[in-house]
Amino acid sequence: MSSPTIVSNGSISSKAWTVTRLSLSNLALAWAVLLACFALVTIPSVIQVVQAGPDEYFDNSYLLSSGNAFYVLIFIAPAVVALSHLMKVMYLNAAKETFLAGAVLLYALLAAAVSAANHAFHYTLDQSWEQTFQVVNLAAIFGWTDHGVLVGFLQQFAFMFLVAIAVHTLASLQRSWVGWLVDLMLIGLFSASLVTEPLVSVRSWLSEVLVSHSSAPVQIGSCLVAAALLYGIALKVLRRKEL
Amino acid sequence: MTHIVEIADVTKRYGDANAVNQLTVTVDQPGIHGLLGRNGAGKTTLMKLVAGHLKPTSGEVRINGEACSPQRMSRSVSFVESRASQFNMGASSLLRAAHQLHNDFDDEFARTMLSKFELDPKKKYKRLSFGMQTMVSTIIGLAINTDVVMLDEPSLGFDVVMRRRFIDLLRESLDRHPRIILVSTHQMDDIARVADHLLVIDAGTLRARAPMSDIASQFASADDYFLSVLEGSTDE
Repeated sequence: MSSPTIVSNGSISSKAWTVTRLSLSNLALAWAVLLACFALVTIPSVIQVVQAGPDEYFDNSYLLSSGNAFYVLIFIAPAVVALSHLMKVMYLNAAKETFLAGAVLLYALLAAAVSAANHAFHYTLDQSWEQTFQVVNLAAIFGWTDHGVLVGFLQQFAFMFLVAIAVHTLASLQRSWVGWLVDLMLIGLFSASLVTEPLVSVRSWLSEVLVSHSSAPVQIGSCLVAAALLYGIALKVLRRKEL
Repeated sequence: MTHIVEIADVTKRYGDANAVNQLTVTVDQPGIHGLLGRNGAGKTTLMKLVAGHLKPTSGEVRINGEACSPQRMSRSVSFVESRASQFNMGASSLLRAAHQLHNDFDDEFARTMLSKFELDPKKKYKRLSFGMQTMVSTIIGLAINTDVVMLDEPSLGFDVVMRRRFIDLLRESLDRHPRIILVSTHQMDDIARVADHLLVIDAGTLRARAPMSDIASQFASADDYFLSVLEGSTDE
């Protein structure tokens, strides 16, 4: 018989990369939703811009930047991976840890791609449309574009990465009552944080630290630390999960 | 003594029902072990417990002496679940992915089997017939080369020709890499052609186990053996 413990020559990182590539090439649903959102955001904007005259400016009319449509990928892809890809990776007899490492690598790639795409729109199409309308780009609203292209890209990347891991962790809980309990608790806490002190202050502090802190390194570091904590939770959930 | 597969007084309860009930069994001998049982007898639950997909309600599953559970799945077991869903890619891409995930993957065996079963390596998984999908999953499970391979109802969806070829596949895989191959099935005469041992479970408990040579000398068919066990005239 083969040795009792199967010794693998492949490194964990190369196996994780295999999982990343498998997931990346099986995200048809996420790409379809992204395409639909992009069309829903962009087509009305194009119609408005075409209808407006060349020398007109509408200071009370707002367009949502097409770049923001890419954010949808950060919500859909982790849900698809956590809910649909886990068993498929397990049926290839991969370790649970390899699956999660591959998923996190995928989220890092998607966060980088989304951040780059939104920045590209902010510095090109948004600038052009701002000649006619007010253009709303969340990256600008959160202040990520105030620190230059590279730092802004990193700030947006860190936040998107955190969101992706949070969605993955929540999605992986959904097939048990614990998931529903966590959902209810989060909804309850968020609702309470709108009206009840000290939760209002905690929510404001969290949103400042994770989203709009004036210091980019603090915001980036906070997002990465929070992502690491959520990764730890996701790993614990996955290890205990029955398949 | 360390056993390759050791199931010690394991119970798995769903609500009020015991899918596996205080089951104790060890498996050490390389070979093809047929796991027979009626619908709902606990075959799939037992396999999932051995694979570490499920946590026993009580008792312990050990693989090569190490406790096995969802928190500590054994790398020495591969499990091909009935109706396992794979990524919607060509069989060739799936084999490549499995190869990248396992350096002990027997790529030559897997590719030979793909061609032997006339499986189009480029045809997407969802476009294959159910029997062919099962065959792709089974080839991957066997080529991974773990100490224990478990196949849950692999011959569901196979036509007569595929069932015969499947038997050849099992035997060829075992000849290349002697290990424990546990196959649950309803097709008792099929498994009787290839199995070295049979285990019968009913209502979550092990009712009987015997080498195929003993069964063949006493019963006209595996069906007869199985019915005799269920009727209580044959014990372990």
